[in-house]
Parts: sequence; structure tokens; C-alpha cells
Amino acid sequence: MTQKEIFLGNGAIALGLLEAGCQVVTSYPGTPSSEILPEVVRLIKSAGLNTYVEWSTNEKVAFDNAFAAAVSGKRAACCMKQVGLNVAADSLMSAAYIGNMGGFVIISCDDPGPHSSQTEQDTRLMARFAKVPVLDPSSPEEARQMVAVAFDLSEEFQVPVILRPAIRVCHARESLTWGGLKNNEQKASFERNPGRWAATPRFRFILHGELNGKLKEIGRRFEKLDPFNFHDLKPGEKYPLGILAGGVPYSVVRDILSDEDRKDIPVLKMCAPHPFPEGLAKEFMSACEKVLVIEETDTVIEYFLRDSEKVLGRFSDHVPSEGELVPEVVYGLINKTLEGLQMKGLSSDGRQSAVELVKGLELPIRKPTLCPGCPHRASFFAIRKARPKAIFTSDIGCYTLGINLGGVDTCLDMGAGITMASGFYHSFAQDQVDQPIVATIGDSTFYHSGTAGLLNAVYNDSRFILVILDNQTTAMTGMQPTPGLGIRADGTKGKMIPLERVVAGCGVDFIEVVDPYDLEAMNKLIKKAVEYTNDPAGGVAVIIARHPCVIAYREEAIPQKKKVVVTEDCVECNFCHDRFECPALYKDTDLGRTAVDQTLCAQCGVCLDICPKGAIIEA
Amino acid sequence: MVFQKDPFNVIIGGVGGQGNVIASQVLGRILLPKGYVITIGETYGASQRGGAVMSHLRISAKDQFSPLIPEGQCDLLMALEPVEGLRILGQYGNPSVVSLINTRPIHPIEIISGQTPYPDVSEVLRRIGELSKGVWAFNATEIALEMGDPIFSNMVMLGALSMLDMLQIDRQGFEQAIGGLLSSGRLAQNLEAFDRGKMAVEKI
Repeated sequence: MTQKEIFLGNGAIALGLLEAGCQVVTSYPGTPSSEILPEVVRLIKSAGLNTYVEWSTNEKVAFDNAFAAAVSGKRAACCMKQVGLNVAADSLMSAAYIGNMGGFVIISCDDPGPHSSQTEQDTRLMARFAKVPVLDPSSPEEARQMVAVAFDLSEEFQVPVILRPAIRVCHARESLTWGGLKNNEQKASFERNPGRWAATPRFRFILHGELNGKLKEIGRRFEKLDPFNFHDLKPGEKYPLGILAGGVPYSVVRDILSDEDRKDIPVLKMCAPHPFPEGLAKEFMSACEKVLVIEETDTVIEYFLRDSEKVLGRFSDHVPSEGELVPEVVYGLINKTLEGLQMKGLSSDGRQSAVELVKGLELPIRKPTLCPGCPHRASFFAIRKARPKAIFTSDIGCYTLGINLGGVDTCLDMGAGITMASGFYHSFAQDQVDQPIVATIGDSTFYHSGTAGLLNAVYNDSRFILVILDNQTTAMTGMQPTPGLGIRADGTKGKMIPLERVVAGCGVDFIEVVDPYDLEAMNKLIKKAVEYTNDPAGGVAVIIARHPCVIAYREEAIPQKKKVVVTEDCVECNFCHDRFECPALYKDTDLGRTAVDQTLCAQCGVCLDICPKGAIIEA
Repeated sequence: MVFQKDPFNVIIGGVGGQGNVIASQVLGRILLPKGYVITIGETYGASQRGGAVMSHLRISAKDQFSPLIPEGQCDLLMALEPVEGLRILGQYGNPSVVSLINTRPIHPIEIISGQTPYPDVSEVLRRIGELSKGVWAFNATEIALEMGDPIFSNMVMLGALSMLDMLQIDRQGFEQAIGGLLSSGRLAQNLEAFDRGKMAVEKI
């Protein structure tokens, strides 16, 4: 039985995985990849499949677990965001050499923009670096189809294959027809072969040669990988300009040229760019005087074309080297290229007046902020109050928004809240400077990559306060469970591993738990922690600020609702806005003082303790 | 229904937390059974926490399109917040766009702390009028608050959207669309929100 349904791009990928008989799916959440695993869970429940799923503790762990399944002959996939593949890079480089038995597909989702990432890195470059094939879908439906192709290729050539959907594929929705999912009955088996599965350098040299051979052969396949790689040249015809595009920019180029009815510009679609289909590219290049390359976000195709006279792209400044290639950017760069070649331009829409008019109004910018009632707001308020002169190292998650509250000075990557704290400590201590340092990290991020840094800090006698902001979920990416909850990806019960035990296991002797809603208790605890870090017999002090996320746990998070109001005692000193920044507290211009927007207020009551004039009271 | 323009481009915009993404999903699910090909592009991420959020719906009788609407090609705007509506029109508007606006502002942080003033709502609406072929506006949040929770504003707006008669949105289609998407315990309230939105909207 088939049905028609609107799928999120990540759901289309999930569907593709199950249609291809993928038996093991692992993931660590990260925008824009987070919905793939939940969509897999939804589909396996509705179809009654026995697919194994897990939220792994980090991307390297997700990679290795899925890879082992593929070594045992099963079809397996791991899903992550692009910077997650950095975490799994060690595994990727090695897995490319030794390869797999059952199909192994790595789904690494890119974030051109960037919308919610530290970098705009291009996973296709990672594929080239690791020497594995990569597919770059231009739409959700294509992503779904590519998953099947990726598994077939991976199995036939015993090599990992990367699917690289960009955010516009992951977070697009499309109507798809689907039905009839079945279990894959492939059984696990393992044949000992240390020369491959535990290859030493001498064997690695041989495996490298084999990998190069596989890539040559797959590159030839990619010459004719219709509908992912093809051009629309007319035989024998010559063109002044052709466009070579892959991934999401391909669908944008296709729409623009069709809308403008520009049949004079041929297109080479290249959504399988590595191993590079050399012959296909040459065919296209020889028919066109100039070739404009539009790819996201780096230079993969352009690099392989190697003809700086003919090729227009990032190296020639025809395409921006940063930012997302949204329709208006693609439109503009095609138009500019046509102008430069003295060809007919694209039609102008005469809409400039609206753009200018709205720009002239200088509308207020709307920056993201912590939710009303968020326990992190309380934590940051208490931390700043107790340690105003500290360096605040922080990490990746909702709490990075603590930057608005002056509670975040650094944010490098997952886990660096802790490692940068110990690094700062030793730098200042070397000069005999007593520099206070308070690190913050979320619960999920701590399980992901906090332990190695904490262990190192304790071992090397660093002195700082670490506040683990434990809201009992992975909030930023959509409320995925953590090991601290002991709930698994499919909702079943797993072993709960409390933060306290992990922290103690890292050698920490000062571990205290506090509810950050109680600002005074948290303030006192930070002062106690300061004493401990200053004591010659002390060390790293860890405070677990535990309070459930107000979005994930609507009811439990605020059991005693407190309606608050601001009295006439408010002197508009701005203290609450600068230090607390709650969206529900706003300046009422009519009243001439701060007021509470009751539609936004979560009634947490934390602000009752912050006003220097005592003007915030319970109604 | 055949559109004058294919794809017909709808933008739903607002502030993170207003239920923007759910509204776009519901609209897509209303239109899908009518035989349309639907492509939706969502912009969220860090913006979910109080930032600007936008969904692009591309409705076609025949084809799938790239998920983002090109600048200047919005045909119908549904804004859950007035300033966000105006901001979207500046980028995606054109003289033939029709706008449906929730007039209740949500103050950004800078405005909350008094660093910049929030523009006068009537002035915002006047500008939206200048940039649209037609404007429909009302305080959808007020109605949702009467029902006890501002969370219903998005469904109130969808009810209002059905009155514009530009898309095939009917009560039955709405009821089917929210089934399986929203918690069944709130079905009656969501239907009430839809009905109230239908009654309340006025063309200005």
C-alpha cells in the first residue's frame, strides 16, 4: 500500500535508508541533521521494522558503531552535521582504506550560511580528503534516491560512501509517495582477517593502492550516473557560456534558466562530484567557451577542472567564497557573468524600490535569546554576580546565547569550554597571575566531549570552576535524550548514567548539585567553589546546575507558577535588561518603566530576586 | 484550482516560538490532498529561540521547485508579527502580493531594553499597505489569548487565511491536516481557533 505524504528532507533521507534495507542507524544530533534519526524511528515504528537505532554519545562513536555493523555484513549508516564529521574524521580516514562488507553510508549535513554552525565547511572536500565517493543531492526526493545508490556502490566496491545534503535539502519539505517497507534479513558474520581489519602500515600501503583503484572505477561510473550527473548539450553545438552546478545550487540554476527561458545556456549537473567524472566534464568544457561553476560551499568541482582560462567561479571572483548560494545570489552572479561576457542579461524585476524603502526604515534586528523561564539565564546571572572578573569559557548549545548576558567569552567547538579553561589557567599561572575562570558546558555536550578535557584538567592540576548546565535534554537540536536520562532513541529504557558519576570518574573531588532557580544558593556555592580552587589541596570544582528545560518539560520545569509585576519603584536602571535579558521584561514607553509581557512570561519567578530596587514583585 | 502563476509562492513569517513551522506544515497538509505538488523551505536553527523565522511554500499544479522563493516573488504573505511581515515584503514582495498580518508586535531584545524604538504599528501597517495589492490585518494573538493561550495564534491566522479565498483552505481540510500532527487533546481548541480567525479577519 502506498501513500502520499509531505516529508521533511531529513525524513526523505530516513525513508531512503529504510527502503535500501539499512539495518543499523546511529547519530549524534546537530543542525541540520537532527531529524534524520527521529524520522527513522517514526518509520520503523509505523512499518514494524527491527532496525537498530541509537543516539550515540558523539559522532566518532556513531561512526564506529555503524562501521562495525557494516564490517559484519549489514547495511549501516551514521548521521551527523558537517562539523560532527570532524569529530569522526579519524575513523573516516582509516575506514576508507580498509573498507566495509555490507553497505556503509555516512550522512553529513552541510550548513552553508552558516545558520547554526561554527563553519561553512564543505563535506565534499572531506570526501576528497578521505578518498571516498560523495553524493550531493539537489532535493529531498533526490536525497532519498541517492541513499539507495550509495548503499549499492558501497557494497559493490567495499568502500564507505558519503551523502552530503545541505540545509536546504534537510529542511525542505516535499510531497513523496511511499509504502511497503520491509526488514532486511542479512545476518551478522565476522571472518578474521587481521591484514585488513587490523592492518599495520605495510598492509595499509597495499590497501591505499586498492582504494585508488576503486576510485578510478567509481569515477568511470560517475561519467554516466544519470540523473545525478548529466548535461543538456546538443550534439555538435558550441556555446559561449555553460553552467556547471551541483547540489542545491543546481536546482536554483535550473529554476532560474527555465523561468527566463534561457535555452542558450547549457547546464552540466554534477551531484556526484567525487571521484571526479573527468570525461563528462571534458565533454562539457570543450563545447563551451566559458564555464561558470556554481557549487556549495567550497571549490571541489572547480578545483578538478584545472583550466583557469575557461573556468569562472570562486578563483576568478565570479562566485562568492562565503555565504549560502540563495536564489538571489545565484541570480546576481549569473547576471554579472552574462554582462561580463556581453551576453543578454536576465530580466530585471523592477522591485528595487521596495528593497530601498524597507531598508530605509531601519527595522529592528531580531536576535535569538534564551527562552523565558530558561534555567541557563538564572545560571549565567548567578555566575556573573559571583565572579564578575572571570574569563567565561563556554561551549556549543542553547547556552551559547549566554553571550547576550555577558556570560560567554569563548566558544570554539564541542568540549572546548573545559579545555580552553585549563589552557587559560596554565597560561596565566605561568605568569603567577591569579585569573578567575568559569567554564560552562551543557549536559549533552559534556557527555559528547567533556570527559577527556576534564580528566586532563584534573590530571594536570588546573584550577577553575566548571558549571555543567544540566537541563536534562539536548535542547538546541530538538530535545534528544542524553545518557543522563537513560532514555534511548526509540523511547525504550537504557542505563541512566548520572553526570555526578562521570565527573567523579574524571577524578574531580568537588562535585555539588544546585537548582539555578535558587540564585542565592547558586551564588553561595560558587563562592565555596572559589575557595576550593584557590586551596593548594584543591583542584577543579564542578557545579551541576540542574533544572529541566522549560520547552522539553513544560509542566515539571515550573511547578509553582509565580505571576510577577513591576512596581513604580522601577527607576529604569536597565540592570534587568542587561544582566537578565528576559523577553518577558520590556520597557513600557507609556508607563515609563519596565513591565511584564504576561503572554511571554513563563512565571518562573527567578526575576523576583534580581532587581536592585526590589521593583519586581509577585502579584 | 489553477493559479495565475505557477508555482504560487506563499511565505509564512514570524518570530521563533510562534508556531511558524507548524502553520506551514498544516497548510501543506491541507493542500496536498487537493492534488498540488508542495515544496516547503524552512529557515530555523538558532533562530528558533526568539529570532526571525520564515517558511517558504511553493505550490504547483505540476512540478517540484527549489525550496527558497527568489526575492520579489512572494504571492501571498502570512505574517504572525507585523515588523517581520514588513521585513519580508522588503525582500520578497512585489506589487501584486496580498498580505495577511497579525497586528500584535513581539518586541525584540534591543527594543525591550529601550536601545531602539519599535516602530508604530499603524505606521508598519501603512507601509505594508504601500507594498501590497491588498492587506488583511487583525490581532490574532488577542483572540488566542481569549482562548487562554497565545499558542493558538497560528491556527487563528490559518482560519483567517481561508477567508482570503486565494488557496483552497476549508474547515474539513484543516481538521484532517491537524489530525496526526497536533495532539488530539487540543483538536477542538484548534478548530475553534480556526473558526475564530475566519470570523475576525478584515480587509483594510
